[in-house]
Parts: sequence; C-alpha cells; structure tokens
Amino acid sequence: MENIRKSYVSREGFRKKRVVEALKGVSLAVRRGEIHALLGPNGAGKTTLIKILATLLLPDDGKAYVNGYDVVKEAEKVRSVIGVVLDVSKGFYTSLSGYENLVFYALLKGYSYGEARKRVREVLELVGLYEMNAHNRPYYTYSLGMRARLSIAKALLTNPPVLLLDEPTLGLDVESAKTVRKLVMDLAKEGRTILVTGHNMYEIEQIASSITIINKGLVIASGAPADLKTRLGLMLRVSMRIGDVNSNVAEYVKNLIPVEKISMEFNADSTRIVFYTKASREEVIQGIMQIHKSFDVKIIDLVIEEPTLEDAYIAVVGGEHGS
Amino acid sequence: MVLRVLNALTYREVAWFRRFFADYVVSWIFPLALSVGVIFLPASISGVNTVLSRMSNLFNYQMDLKTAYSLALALTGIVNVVAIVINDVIQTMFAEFRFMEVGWMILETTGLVKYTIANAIIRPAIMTPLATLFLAPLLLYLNGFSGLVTFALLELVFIATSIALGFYSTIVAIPLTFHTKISRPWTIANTLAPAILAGTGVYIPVNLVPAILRFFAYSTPVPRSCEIVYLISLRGFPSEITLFLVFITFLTSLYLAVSGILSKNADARVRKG
Repeated sequence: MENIRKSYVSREGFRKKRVVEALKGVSLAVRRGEIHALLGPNGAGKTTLIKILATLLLPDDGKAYVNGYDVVKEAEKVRSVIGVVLDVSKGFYTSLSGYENLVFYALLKGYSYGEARKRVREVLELVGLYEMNAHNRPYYTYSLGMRARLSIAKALLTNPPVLLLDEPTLGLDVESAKTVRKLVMDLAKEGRTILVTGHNMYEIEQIASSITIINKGLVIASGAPADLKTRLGLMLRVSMRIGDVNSNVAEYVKNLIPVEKISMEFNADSTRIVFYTKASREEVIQGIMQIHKSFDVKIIDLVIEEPTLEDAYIAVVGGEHGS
Repeated sequence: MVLRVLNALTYREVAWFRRFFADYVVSWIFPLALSVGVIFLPASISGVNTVLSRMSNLFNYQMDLKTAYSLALALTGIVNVVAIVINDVIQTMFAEFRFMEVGWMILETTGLVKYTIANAIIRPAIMTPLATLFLAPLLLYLNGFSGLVTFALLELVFIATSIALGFYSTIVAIPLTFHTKISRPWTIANTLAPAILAGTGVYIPVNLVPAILRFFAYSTPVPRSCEIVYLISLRGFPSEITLFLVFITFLTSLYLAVSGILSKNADARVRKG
C-alpha cells in the first residue's frame, strides 16, 4: 500500500460541507503469512484502510495491492482472495439463521447450492457454532461472541489466503475474545496473511508479529512489537529486594547500570529498590549478578518488567516520541 | 454473475417464506375479509340483489353472486400485490443497507446494479404467487376448472405487475436509502401503497379521487392492471391482455433503465464513502 489518501465529505445542513481527511498518505506492507496489526485511536483511519483493501471503498489517491492485485483495477480478483470481518455485531440478516446467512453469502460468491451447504457446515464447525447448535437459530438471538464467530466463518468461507479483520474482538467477553484470538493465531499458522485492527494492546501483543500505529490518518510508527519498544526508547522497570538495610546499594546499581530513576524503601530487615533503565535485560541481569558477587548483597526478590505495547502505543499516540 | 445473485436471492426468499409462513397466512386472511366485505357489507344495508344490480351497471356486465364475488377476490389480489411489493422492496433495501449493514456483504461480492435488478425481479416474482395463493382454492370452488384458468391468468397479470412495481419501488428506495438521512422509511412506504391503490379507483370511483393521488397511480401500471383483472374476472380470456403485456413490458423496461442509473450512482456514492 503506497501513499493511500482518502477524504470524506459530510454535509452539515443544506449548504455547509465538511471535508474529513481519514487517510493522509498511508504506506505499509504486510509480509505473506504474518499477522500484522493496525493500531490507532478511534477515528484514526483503521476501518477506512480495511474497507479500501476490501474493495468496499475507493481511495482518492495512491496504490494498494492485495496478493499482487490492484484493489481498484482488479477488484474482482482481490475479492476472490480476501475474507473480510467488519463490524462483528452486525452485517447479517437478523431473521435468517447463521447457516442460512452463510449459504446466501456462498451463493453470492458463486458456489453451487450443494457446495455451499457443504462448505458452510465446514466453516461453522471450524468456528464452533455447529457444536454449540447455534447454526439454525435466527441471527438476532446470537450473543456478541456467536456473532463474532459467524463473521469469522463468513470470512473463511472461500478459504482465502488473506484475511482483513476489523476489530474482531470488539465488545466480546474475556472467554469469547480468547477463543477468537486462538482462532486467528491458528489461521495464521495455516499460512494466511492477516491484517487485524484493534485497541486491545494485550491482545495485539499476543497475536501480531508486526504492527503499524496510525493516528489522524498518518502512520506514526511501525515494526515488530519488540523493535517498536526498543526504538521508542522505552525503559525496563526493575524491582529488587535485598536481605539487609543498605543505603549504598543505590550507588552500586548506578555505577553498574545506566539508571534513569531510582527509589529505595527501607523495611525492618530488607531494602526494596525500584529503578528504570534503558539498558537491555541482559545488561541489567549482569549488573545485578555483579552487585551480588562483589558486595555480598543477598538478593531475595527480583522482578524485571518489560515495557508493554500499551506503553509504546501511549508513547506514540500521546506524542511523547517520534517514530 | 447475475445468475449467482438470482440464485442467492431465490434461496433467501424461500428461507424467509419458511420462517414467515404465519405472516403469509395473515396476508391471506385480511384480503379475504375485504373481498367478503366488498359484497356483503353493502348487501347487509340494501340487499344482495341491489348490490349485484349496481355492480352490473358499474362494470357493464350482468353479474350473478359467484361472478361478483370472483371479481371482489381478484380485486383483493391486486390490493395484496401492491401493498406487499411496495412496502417490502422499500423497507428491505433500507434495512439491508442502513440497519443490518448487510450491504457490505452484498458489495463485497457483487455490484449494487446487479443486486437491485435481481432483487426487483426475484422478490416480487416469488412473493406475489405466495401472497395470492389463497385465490386458487376459492376460484376453483366458485367456478370449477375455469376458476383455475382464471387464477392462472390473474397470476400472469399479478406477477407482471409486481415485477414492474419491484423496479418502481427500487426507484423510490434508492434515494431514500442512499441520498437521505431519514430513519423511518416505512412512513413513506406505508403511504405510497394506499395512495397508488386509491388513485386507481379500487376503493372509490376514480373520478372522486384527488388529482395528486391519480398522479401517483398513473405513474405505475396498477390502473391498467386493475382494468385487465376486471376483464379476466368477467370474461375469462380478454383479447386486451396482449396489449397489456406489451404496455407493462415497456413500462418495466423504463423503470429498469431508471433504477439501473440510480443504482449505479448509489454504488459509486457508497464506494466513494
């Protein structure tokens, strides 16, 4: 995807028009077979991007390719290689069952009636709706979790090599979100390329192998989760408890590890030290081992906390760091 | 491509029929009550013979009770077709694209032009026989085998009318769905069908109908359909049916062209965002 631009014109009253620039020249590439996450706050342009790749929206400018096909000039070919999940809470006929909705979709996709029935049963089994005996119930009776599963079943119906998932776990309870996450990871293991959007950093950190953060229609950071954290210069938080009351420990730490901030808390028989550092995890462990050896300090407890993707996201979207 | 859309829509209609069978039964009961009321309500005031005499004068055909009731039944058939097709096509399209957001599923697989054309043909073509099925046993009971022949001819007129109305409703539905911000389309759909029916003279003599209602009616094939339905009910196989079919083919082609242009614009508008 190169330099994609998209603006919306919304009317305010009869005469006044407002132009909203949803994407201001977004470029990104997703490698075959990886899960790539698109992160950003509400209104960042994530859904617009997914809709452009799904051929549902036309870009104003720029080029986008899916599996080598141009999304504007070869829309039919693009549609044959993608599965799309948009809003998991709707998108189906409420009075038809999940099974009937999918057969309708399969017939639209060009399956024969016999093939459609067979394939629909397969995907319903894959997402677990068949064993829940929910496939024959009207869609309006489905819980949000069941609706999300049905949306994924729809996306998988044509067995596409590329999946575009727009917030597939939005609004789901913990258990349903976990099931959907597992499903997405299993699909990636089969070699599918997945572009997923979301807000939940914990979730994205678990499933995505690369990330693009967009805000106000612009890419502001991208890379693997670990690289992103390193590049943003985020710090490790180290919490250590030593077995005696020793006010010199802070000096030992400072001499061996480049520390940004340190605090100490003296208890009756121990000292708790918390410090933040940009040093690598290995450097921190080596430094602490040396303190233990050289100064005969008894270490009772040690916790090294990695910066989370959420820290990276807040740092980027909050404007604390450039990309 | 159009064939697969037709397949999908046929499947959806059959699924809906199975799920909404009770609704169809209701749609048979109300017209039945109307057909009984057309003859027997005035008969309860002035007697059956007076009603038959007046109907004979009105239609310039000497009627007995069986013929009069057959005519009343045919009349309710056209009322059913107009009410169901207009309401259903407008409201379903609105719900698909504005409430349920099924529109994305459709646009993901095909273009709006192909979908609306297929929808305007398949929905009425399937719903009309289902909504007027109740006429078959009644006409058979009243007129024997010739009643079934009358039913077959009426169905031909009903289906041709309903397909034309399917495109007509699409012309109304597209601006409502894609070019306005209204959220209650049923107020328009529910007004349009009675306006068309009133303007055809189904309820009251057409010369008493306000000109604006007559305009609505004459923008559709319904007044001509009513005339041919009366002729079939009274005379069996009128020669005018050929001319009617030519007329309705022309009108359907005209509606198809307009709805095609509107669908193409709407497709471009939706994909533009």
